[in-house]
Amino acid sequence: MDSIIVGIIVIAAVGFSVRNFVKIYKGEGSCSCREGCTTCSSKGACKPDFSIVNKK
Amino acid sequence: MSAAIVLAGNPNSGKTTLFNELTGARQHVGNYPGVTVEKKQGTCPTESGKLTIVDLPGTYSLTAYSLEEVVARDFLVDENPSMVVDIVDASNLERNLYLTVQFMEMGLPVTIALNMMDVADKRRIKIDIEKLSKLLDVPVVPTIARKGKGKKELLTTISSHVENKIKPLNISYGRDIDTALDKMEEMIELSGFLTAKYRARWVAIKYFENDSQITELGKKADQKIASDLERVVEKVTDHLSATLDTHPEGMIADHRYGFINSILKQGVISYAQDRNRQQISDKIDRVVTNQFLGPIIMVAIIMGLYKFTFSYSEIPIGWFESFFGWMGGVADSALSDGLLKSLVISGIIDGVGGVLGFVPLIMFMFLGIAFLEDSGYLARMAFMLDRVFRMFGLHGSSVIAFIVSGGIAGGCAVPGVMAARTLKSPKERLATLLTVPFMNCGAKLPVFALLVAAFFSENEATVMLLITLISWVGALLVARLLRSTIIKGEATPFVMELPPYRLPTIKGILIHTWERTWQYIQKAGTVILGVSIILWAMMTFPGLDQTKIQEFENQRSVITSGVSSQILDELETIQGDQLSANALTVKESLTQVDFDEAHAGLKNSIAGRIGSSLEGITKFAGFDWRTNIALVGGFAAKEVVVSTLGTAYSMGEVDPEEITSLSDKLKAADGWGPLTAFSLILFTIFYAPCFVTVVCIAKEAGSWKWAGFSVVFNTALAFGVSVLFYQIGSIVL
Amino acid sequence: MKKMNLRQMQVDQTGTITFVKADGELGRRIRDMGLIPGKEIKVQGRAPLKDPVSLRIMGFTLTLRNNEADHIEVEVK
Repeated sequence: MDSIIVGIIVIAAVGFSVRNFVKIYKGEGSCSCREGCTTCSSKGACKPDFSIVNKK
Repeated sequence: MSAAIVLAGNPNSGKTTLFNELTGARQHVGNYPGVTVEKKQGTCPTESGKLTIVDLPGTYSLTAYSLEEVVARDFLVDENPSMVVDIVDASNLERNLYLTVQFMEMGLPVTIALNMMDVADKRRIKIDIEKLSKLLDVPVVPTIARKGKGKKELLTTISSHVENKIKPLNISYGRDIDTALDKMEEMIELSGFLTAKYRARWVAIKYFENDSQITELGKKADQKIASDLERVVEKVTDHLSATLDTHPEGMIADHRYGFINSILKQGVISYAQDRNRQQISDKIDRVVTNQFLGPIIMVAIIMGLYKFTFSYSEIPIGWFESFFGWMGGVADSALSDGLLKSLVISGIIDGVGGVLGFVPLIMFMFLGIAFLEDSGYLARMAFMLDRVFRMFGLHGSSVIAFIVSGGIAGGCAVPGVMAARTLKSPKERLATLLTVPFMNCGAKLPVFALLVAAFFSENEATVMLLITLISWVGALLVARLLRSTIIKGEATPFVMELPPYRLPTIKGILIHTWERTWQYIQKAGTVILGVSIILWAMMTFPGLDQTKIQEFENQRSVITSGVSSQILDELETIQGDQLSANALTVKESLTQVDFDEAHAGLKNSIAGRIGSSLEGITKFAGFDWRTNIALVGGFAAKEVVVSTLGTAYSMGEVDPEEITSLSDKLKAADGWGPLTAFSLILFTIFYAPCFVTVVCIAKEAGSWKWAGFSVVFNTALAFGVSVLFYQIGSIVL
Repeated sequence: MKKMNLRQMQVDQTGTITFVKADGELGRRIRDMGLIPGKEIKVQGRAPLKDPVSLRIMGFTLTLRNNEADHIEVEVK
């Protein structure tokens, strides 16, 4: 019983972390640091119109 | 009615404050020019419907000088807002109107929010609002955003003017340019050159201003017209330089200011005192940026911040520690021995708890930094340090990027990397964003706090100052190295406004501090928790094989078989100190076996093997295999260094019932001393940036090559510095 | 009345800009901030290493480096 619960928790943690890192990699994830940090999903992600930068 | 409006204006005109007032959004109010680079959006309910409000980055002009200007301009052109609310600093009217005029030249509908009326009053500047409105032919509403005054009037004015037809402003730029502009306008309109997006005359002006964005767009749209236009410009340019020794760009700016002046001179504004007379801010600057006092005050402020942070956070940190100790105790008695208990106590409580324990420290640090930021002192730091930074191939604005990343302590390298955008020269930008990760971000702070509290508790603030100095010197030297080797290149001009000092509002600072602290807590509860559990699993499995377990079992039976049943009974029933001397020795040898078993298990685990395999090289820097695990985990997020050490030392713990903090455990552990601790501090300062930062570097630098470079180079540098320090330290001490 | 370069001005000295030589990006930046002929400026102070310089113009404080100040000519009383 113990092992099953632990197994589930560990798998959940792995799943959560992998998803988190994939999100960050794609520039959607929250980096949970101070605001002004544009990787935060709520504030527009790590992709603040890179088209603008490249357009130049 | 539902309309989209934008807030635009100069940096430090109170734009963000007004945005907060209108939308109620909580957001950062900085005092450094150009602190809002990203687009911020909110909604505001009005009597006549919902307004969507976009907060544009603060700019002084609409040329293509900086990224912010390009962002603002593109947004205005692409989104075609129904109203541009231009926030104009009443105490600084002339320069602020320079931007207003440019909006009007673009043919955008403008409403002026004449902000900071109170400051203007204090400086005895009188403004005839009606006259200003009439002469410019735009609505003008006086506001005091800090006190929320004029908000309602502004909203009513906006809604009543949204539908109005507007007549674009045409300024005279002198006969030569005007004639050419007329001709160019005709050419542009006839061929429909870029007119889908821009006003014809405006495009012509931009050709005169030699605006890189527009001329490039033009080349792409129609090569022939573009070169025709360029020829006209060239002719006028030659003529102007021959007759007046000037060029169109200069003429245009002169005439824009001339136009503004001609309006203001018609009795719009009157000064009761000399405009350039010393204000309180200037008097403060006399002292604060003084040749001798300036640097001393700067160091004193930082030192004071550390003293404040460490001394006031000590007691609450103690509360947090005892709280997590108590939780560990509860978990210990509630769960039966086994994997789950180990996961909860070692993985979660000792791991995440170690990180959360530093919440008070983080909070006090953020409080101090929020105060410095909102007061306007940071711009002075940039001013004072620009010369120093330039010697190392960086820029005054890099100072801000450094501080945002944790230059004082407790920032984040991600926004620091973003802040590097204010630099125009790509080389300077690259050098800045590659060196900002050396700063002591909020995630490294618990690592330092842990080690400093354990090994340098007498001089916490001094050691912290030393850490800060090392990271700055390191970053500057690396920047110099990069700028004189792989990223040589020109420097960006340093034309910066020194905003007046402002006493930060308590509300602003508290919101600011709380937001950051809450984010730290959230991160500990999500990212760090996940990684801690994974690392716990890696430190637990595969565990010991059956024969090894049997060996330890045998050792235990050897110990217990030799003693009388009376003593065994005593061990079962009596707690701690009341044991007889004989029983105590037995107990000690039993716990030694337990410890050896846990230790062997940890060492045999996946993480243990990885850590041990690295020990061959890391031992030169004084790191054992456990530290190696922590440092590898730290790549996910630097706080993980603390949580992993917490887990690792909790798993090998001799007596789980005794509540000891991680710093006490480290103090007691083998191989740990001030030398190892400082070597680890040095490594933490310089080694690979965390995963998120690496991703951001890749995006900002435009290639994964630089991100990879920062991982490899920084780790090699960190290792070199730590080894050097540890080896020399070992010989000297 | 004496003509000189902005770099040579002393702290607290007042003058009127007569000419701005810079063009291109720097020129644009300088002009955007209002450093144009006819404007009155007052040197406010210098950073501890004598560079950059801070000055007051149109009622606000602006900083620029000495090598940028070189592009600006002023007439002092």
